[in-house]
This record gives sequence, structure tokens and C-alpha cells, in this order.
Amino acid sequence: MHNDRINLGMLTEQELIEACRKGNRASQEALYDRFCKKLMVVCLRYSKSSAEAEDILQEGFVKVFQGLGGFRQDSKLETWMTRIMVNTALNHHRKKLYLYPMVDVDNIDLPETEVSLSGLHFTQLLEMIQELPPGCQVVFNMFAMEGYGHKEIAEMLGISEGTSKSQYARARNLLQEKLLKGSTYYQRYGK
Amino acid sequence: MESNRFEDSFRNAFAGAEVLPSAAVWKNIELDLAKESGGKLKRNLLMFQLLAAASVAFAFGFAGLYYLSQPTANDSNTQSLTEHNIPKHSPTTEPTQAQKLKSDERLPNRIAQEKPAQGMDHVSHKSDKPVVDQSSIIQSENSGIEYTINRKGLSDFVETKKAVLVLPKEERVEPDAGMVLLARLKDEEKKYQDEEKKAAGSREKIWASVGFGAGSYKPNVQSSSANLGVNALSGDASTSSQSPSGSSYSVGVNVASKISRRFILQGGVSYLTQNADFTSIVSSQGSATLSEFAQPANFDRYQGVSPYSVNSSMQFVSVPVQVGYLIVDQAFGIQLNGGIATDLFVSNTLSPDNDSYQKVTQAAGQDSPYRTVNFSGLLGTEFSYRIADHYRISLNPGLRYALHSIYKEEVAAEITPVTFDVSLRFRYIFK
Repeated sequence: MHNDRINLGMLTEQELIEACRKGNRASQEALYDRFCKKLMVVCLRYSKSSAEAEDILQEGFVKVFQGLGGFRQDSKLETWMTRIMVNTALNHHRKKLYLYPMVDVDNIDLPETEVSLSGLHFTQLLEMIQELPPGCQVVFNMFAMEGYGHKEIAEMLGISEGTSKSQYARARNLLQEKLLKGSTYYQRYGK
Repeated sequence: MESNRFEDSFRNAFAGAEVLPSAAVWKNIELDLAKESGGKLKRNLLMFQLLAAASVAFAFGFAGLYYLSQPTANDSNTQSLTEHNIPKHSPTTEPTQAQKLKSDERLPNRIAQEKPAQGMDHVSHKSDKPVVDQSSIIQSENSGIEYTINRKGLSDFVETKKAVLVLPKEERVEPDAGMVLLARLKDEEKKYQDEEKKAAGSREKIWASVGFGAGSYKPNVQSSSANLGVNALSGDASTSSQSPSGSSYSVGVNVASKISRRFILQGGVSYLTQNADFTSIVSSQGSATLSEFAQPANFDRYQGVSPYSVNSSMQFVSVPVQVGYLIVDQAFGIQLNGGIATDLFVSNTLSPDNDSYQKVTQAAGQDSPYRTVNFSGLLGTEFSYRIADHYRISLNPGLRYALHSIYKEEVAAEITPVTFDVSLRFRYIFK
């Protein structure tokens, strides 16, 4: 059994995809093992807790296995799976986004000072992102991390482009403040 | 510029970042996938159920349409009238034929006797189907009588045209030979259809079958504990409360013939073996005979011993005569059978499992405690399937019960065996 897992781990991405398409459970597990850690980070960025992130990861992976048959390999498998995780997270948070309506913030004073992230562990940044208000968290992730434009974000979330921009600006402002003042992680571990 | 740096810094900070989720995540994914595949199975099952329901609905619908499309009694009257009432004489000899039709209000569905219109010529040439029906109504101008023409088998041209046959007032009505011929053909076809319908169920008239069966056998021994001799014969332990059971095997041939559409008379010959294990507490020094048991003094020959097992194997040649009733007579057939079998006793072999005692075989005959001729009631069902034009395979679960004890009256005990067996038969249909 252990050897089987090792052998499956040695399969190329294409071979793994083919095996998963046939519904081979061991191959599905191998695919999960290969990508779950990276995708867990994606889910954590859109969540407030590990438990919530795991729920998204679980739901997202089920969708991955269900949709693998239709994966046309136009993009890398990891990119495709990340997109599924993001969409799953967005669905997960849609209600929360309504609960926390995003309002336009016209005048945002962005700090002029340059903030350096060097020396910070990603977990510290992750915590800062998780502490953002839900709307800001989602928009920041989509814009800064996934690279969506504000227009796309507006369409995907059903908000105006201006709201997306203002939410992003607010998120950035809050993050910069946190970086300047130092987060709990920052204080705990120091530079 | 600064903005881009800020975002790039974040992206870079997360490049290659990994967090291991808990082991429960994969287990939950597996569960979800299993549920999903189960759901798919259920959906497939539902689809098959819906398909089955749709098939049944279609079958019923088709059967309903077929039933409705069958000629009704009215049609038969019409056909009959058509053949017998259409005047074949020249109108000159019976100039008032049209008036006769007009006055006869009890017979509204007569066939038009006017010279055929263009479409009618077409009918006589193209149609190979009966023409008289109630599917189309033609009214006579002068009589108001409705005539009917069946449009089945007519060309599209005729189908699309509404046929209106106008009979000029007081004009002579001349029988048309073509129409009469078609009406007769309709009659012939109906007769043929009726015969076909009857023949479909009774196509198989005589057949023979070979088969073998196996089942359970219950001797139903009733004896007195005092009569050790009888017990020795039957191998019975001592009381009637102990009723052992065993197995029954048969092989035989049958011949059957239909005596009516639904009833069948069948007979044959088969060889039966009925085995049962008993516990005996007596030992015999040899084969016991009826004369020995008739004399109580001979009981001394039988000694009380420790209980031991004895196998009784009775052989019969059976000649069954049964009447069958066909409930379903299609490719798949269901038949109920009932009758009587004459069972000729061949022998009973008692085989003790103890080497100290001898194997004893009781044959039929004057000295045998067994009746040579026995009668059994038969009751069974036969499920058959036609596998080829002349072959059927059938499964016959059936009950055979002795109508009397197989012991002779002199013996103070009774054995009335009951057998339930299932036999497999291969049937060859002669005609």
C-alpha cells in the first residue's frame, strides 16, 4: 500500500489526471497529497480560521474530482485547481459579504511610507489578511494575490467596480497599518 | 509603482507557502465522493425505473390502441350487411334500391353503392386493406344516409381529400363490383384474424418432455411403539412424533396434448427415489417379511439395541396423469397442473450406518409389507419459456402426496409420503 502511494507519487501530472478521471481513489488521494498543502494556503487566505479553510478545501477538492473530466488543460492543473478553490471560497463567503455590505470609501489616504515585508513569515501575513474585514479580505486576495482586475472582481462579487477599488484601498491601508505597527506575530517573533 | 511593489511583495511572500491540512479533510473528501457515486447509482436506478415505467405505459397505450382499432360488433354487422345485402342485380330489375336504402333507418352504415368517384377507383387499385369502416362518413344527398369508408391503406392523396359521395336523386344505384369485392375481402380478413388470434394461443398442440427433479421428502410415519417389527421395517425409532425428512429425486418423460385452448392432458412415466434417515433401536437378522410381522412370536427375532442410523431408500416407478390449465400461453407460459399418479413400488433398501447390521432390501411382492400399487395426488405449477420454435424449457415446482399408506393394511403402521420437488424439463413441441 505504501509502495503504491510512492508509485502514484511518481506519476506525471498528466498520468495522474488520467487515473483520477477513471475514478481511481488511490490516484485521487495522490493528487490531493500533491496539491493540498498549497491549496490550503489559498483557502486560509479566504478564511477566518483553519476549520473554515478545511471546509473550503474539502468542498473544492470534491469539485476538482468531479470536474477533472472537463479539464481541458488550457492552463496548468494547479492554476485550475486554485481557481476552483477561490470560487468555492467566494461561494462560501457570499452570504457573509451580504452580511457585511461593502461601501465605497471615497477618500482613502494611502500611507506614503514604503513597507517592507522582508523577514516576515507568510503565516504572519496570513494572520493579517485573516484579520481584515470580510469584504476587504476577499477583494484584497482577488486583486493582490490572484491578479484579478477590479472590473472582474466587481462582476464576480456583484458589486460596483468603485466598491471593489475602495475595498481594496481599505484593505491595503489596514495591512500597511498592521505592518507598521506590527502584528501579534511580529511582536511575538520580532524581525 | 509602490502599489505594484506592495502586491508583488505579498505574492512573493506566499510563493511556495504550504500548510498541511488535517487528515480528516481527505477522509471527508472520500466520503463525499462515495456519496456522490452512490447518488449517481441512485440516479441511474431512478432512470431505469422511469424507463421501465415508461415502457409499461407505452405497452398499455399500445395495447389500448390495438384494442380500440379492433373491429367492433357494429363493424361486423356492417360487413355482414355489406356482403349479404348489397344488391347484385341490375338496377333495372330493382329500380328502387336507393329508396330502400333510404327507408332503412335501422341500417345506417351501409356501403355506398354509387359508381365510384375518382378516388374510389384509386381505392380499388391501391388498397389491399378492407375498406368498410366508420372512419370516414359519406353522406348521400338524396337519402341522408351515412356511408362509411375505411381510409386505411389509401394513398396520401386520398387521405387528404375529404371524400364526399353525392348520389343524384332518383338515380339508379348500381352495385360496384370493386366495392363488393373489397367488402368480401374485409370479411375474409376478419375471419382470418380471428383464426390467427385463436391459433396464436394454441399453436403448440402436442409435445414431449424429459426432465429431472429434486426436492424434499417427508415419509409421515405413523406407528405404534410396541410394534418393533414395523419399526424395523420402516426404520422408525419408536413413536409417531418423530417424523424424519429426506430427499427425493426423479427422472422421467412426459407427453402432453392440448384438449382445448386452455386445457392440457398429460401423462408419462418417471422413476422416483425417496431417501430418508431414521434412527432405529431394533436389529433384524435379515429381510423382514409380512408373514413374519403378522406373527407376534417372530418379534423375538428383533432385539433391542442402541440407537443407530438407518437410511431408507424407496424406489417407485410412477405413471402420472394430469390435467393442466394454461394461465399464460405465450413465449412465457404459466400452467397449473393437477392429477393423480400410479406409483409402482419397486423396493426399499435399508442401509444401516453400523457395520454390525446388514443392509436389507425389501422388494415388492406378496410377502412385502409394501403395497405394489400406490396412488398419489399431484399438484403443481409449470413456468415455461419458449427457447426456439420447437423447444421450451420449464421449471415445475410441485407437490406429491400419497393418497393412502404405502404399507399393506395388515401392517399396523402407516407411511403416507409427501414430496415437494422442483423439476427442470426440456420440452420438444411436435406441432
